[in-house]
Amino acid sequence: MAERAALLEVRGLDAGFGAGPVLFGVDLDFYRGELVALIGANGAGKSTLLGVLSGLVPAAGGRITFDGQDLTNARPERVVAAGMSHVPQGRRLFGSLSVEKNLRLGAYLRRDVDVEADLARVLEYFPALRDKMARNAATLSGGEQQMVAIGRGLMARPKLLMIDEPSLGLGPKVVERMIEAAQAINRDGTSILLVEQDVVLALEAAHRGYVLENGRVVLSGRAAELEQNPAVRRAYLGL
Amino acid sequence: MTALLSIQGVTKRFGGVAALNEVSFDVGEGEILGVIGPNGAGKTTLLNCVSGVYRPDAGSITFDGHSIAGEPPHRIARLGVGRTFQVVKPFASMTARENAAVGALFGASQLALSRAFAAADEVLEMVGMAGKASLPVASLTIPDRKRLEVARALATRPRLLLLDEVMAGLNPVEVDEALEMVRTVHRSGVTIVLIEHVMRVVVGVCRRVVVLHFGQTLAEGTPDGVLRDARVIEAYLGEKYARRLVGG
Repeated sequence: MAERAALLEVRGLDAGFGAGPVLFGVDLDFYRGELVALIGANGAGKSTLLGVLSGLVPAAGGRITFDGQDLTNARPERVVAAGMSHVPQGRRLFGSLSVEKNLRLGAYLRRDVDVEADLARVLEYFPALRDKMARNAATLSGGEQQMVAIGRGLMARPKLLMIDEPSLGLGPKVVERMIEAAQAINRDGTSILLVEQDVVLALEAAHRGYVLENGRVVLSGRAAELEQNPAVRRAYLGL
Repeated sequence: MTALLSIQGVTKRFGGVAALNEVSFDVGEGEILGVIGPNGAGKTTLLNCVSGVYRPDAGSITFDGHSIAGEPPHRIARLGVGRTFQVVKPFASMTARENAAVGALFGASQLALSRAFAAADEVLEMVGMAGKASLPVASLTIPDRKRLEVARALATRPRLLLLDEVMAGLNPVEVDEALEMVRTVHRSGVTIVLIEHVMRVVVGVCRRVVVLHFGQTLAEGTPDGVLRDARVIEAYLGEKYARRLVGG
């Protein structure tokens, strides 16, 4: 890892929607080049946190600073333009559009000329998509759809890619491949925030991790240490 | 063990692609059978054929002596086949109890409204949601929504319950709790076919596993045998995961 400059700084973030508050005073520091795992039970607030960072869910309090800019309650398009892109849980592809169009939509805000090069790069991470570019996204297998979702996120050329539960509904071998792709993308310089229920896999892949419980950060540290932490093993690994 | 469900030579094509290609196996009364395989292998298509969502292009499906291939879903449900869906679809504006009651009103027993609520309470108890019966669905967590999906299917009084990835999206501790629920349902006398990617579930409750790959049966046997099968590792588990399973 090069220089440890803070890329994302979250301070005292509160949020809630519908039934009541979901996040309480969340602090999070994210350094350039990191792969950070966010773990916790269902309902702990992980997806809400990603939603707030993306500008999809309003923050009720606190502050989000990304790459020197205040992005607290910024609109999603500004967040994307600033360099954060979100791969949502359940893929959320445009099923009746082709794979290629889905991917290109990820670059919708960009006005630079490198879109073609980035499209080629996505296909290097996910060669299985190469001969499926013209197919409607809805006709792909779950694993291929997840590849398109991650690829679409990459097409925004983010500094930070947030991936929400890439393993959802996928077989073990495909999950493995998805995590390997995340690691390869990270090695090539994109920072990654990974929300994942397969806690072992997530912590093996990540540099650091945060544990979210009932909307609060209860633990954070180096991934290898979290994996050995007795409380984490009891609460999330079933050991 | 007599077969409660018998699937013989079932084929289902979409366009030119055979999503299922002459799949055959039996499910014994009282069994918990696991169906595993890569994404796109045809697992959900198979459940859709059994529950009447799809009509197979060839082959026969027999449940409790009735030929059910091509029968409409409601008739199959009333014969005693319950199912859950991968993406849960509760009635969002209703409570958990009301959702479960719909199953009881509609299913094999077609109860009167007052008895349907009693039946709903019974199945909510069985899936561990008795304390949340009066909550609106919108306030339920994902694990609870999955439990409710099972409760709705159970409320139809099935003899055979088809579970489609009820553990997806749960963390290991939540999976253990859901495993207990499956065991409780099974002890109540329901035969279960479950589609699952979470191997600790398959190993934890299934005596027998069928592996589908490209719409065909790739392997069949005990979880232990199947998960050590080189073809299954190649097609589905991956080397690293297989090593972890075998105790690496």
